[in-house]
Amino acid sequence: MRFRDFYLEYTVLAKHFQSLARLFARLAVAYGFYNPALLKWSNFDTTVAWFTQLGIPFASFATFLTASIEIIAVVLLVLGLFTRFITIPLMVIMLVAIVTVHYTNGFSAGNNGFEIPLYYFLFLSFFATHGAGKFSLDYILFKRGK
Amino acid sequence: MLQTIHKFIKDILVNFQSLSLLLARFAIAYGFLDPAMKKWADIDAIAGWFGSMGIPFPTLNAYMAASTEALGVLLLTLGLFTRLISVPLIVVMVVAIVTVHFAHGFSAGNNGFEIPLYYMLFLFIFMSHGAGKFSLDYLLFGNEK
Repeated sequence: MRFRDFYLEYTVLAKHFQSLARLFARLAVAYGFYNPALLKWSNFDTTVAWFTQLGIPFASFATFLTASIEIIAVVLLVLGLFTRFITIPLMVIMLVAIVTVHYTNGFSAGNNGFEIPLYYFLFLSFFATHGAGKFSLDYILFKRGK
Repeated sequence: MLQTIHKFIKDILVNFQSLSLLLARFAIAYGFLDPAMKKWADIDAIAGWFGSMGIPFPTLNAYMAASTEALGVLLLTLGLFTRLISVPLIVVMVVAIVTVHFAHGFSAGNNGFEIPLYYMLFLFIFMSHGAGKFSLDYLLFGNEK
């Protein structure tokens, strides 16, 4: 019984860190998308050729779309703006990346497996369902945005 | 208009909060499974390794890290005492980053601190948000969200 009381008290305390946890995770994921986004823009034609080789239809358009979503996502995740909107297409990109590139390499990140895109997918699904937290423009814009 | 669309999407998405926490818990539990088993398979070698990295009381700390990780696998899977076990696991990740990974830079391909950092962030999320509805915590401690 005393443990139960302790756990509930601790829960009240721990909940105060929700927005901070979301902010840190948002910044990390934004940073993670920064490099892939820049690489796609700076080597656009190479990426189109790579997408074609992977069997992705409308490779030029798909590259443009992916590169655009990723670079927009970096900005929006940092600001915490339209977080619930941007996370959905990003989750789709992660799924496509896992299926077309990483899955055949197995799990481990050291072998370019699907470990890291999976973690990104899970972070993004967390943002989509929980929102950006208090340290975000969403919170100002949509109030009760939680 | 934008407010209405946002509310509409949000009202759908919030139904999946517990599912997202469950999947993340499973992923992190799975991630700790390998390191935990490796440590228990040859705890003396781990103690020697800890000693060579300058960690004080290497044998004690090898047992502590191995126990915390094994316990973490079990508790994160069950969603039991999630907010509590996350804290020592965060400490294990901080120590891993400082002693092993930081010198290798960020990228996971180079054994950098990318993955332990993501683990830390997930654990911080579990500490602050709890395990969600699909957990023993929910049965034991009720609607702690």
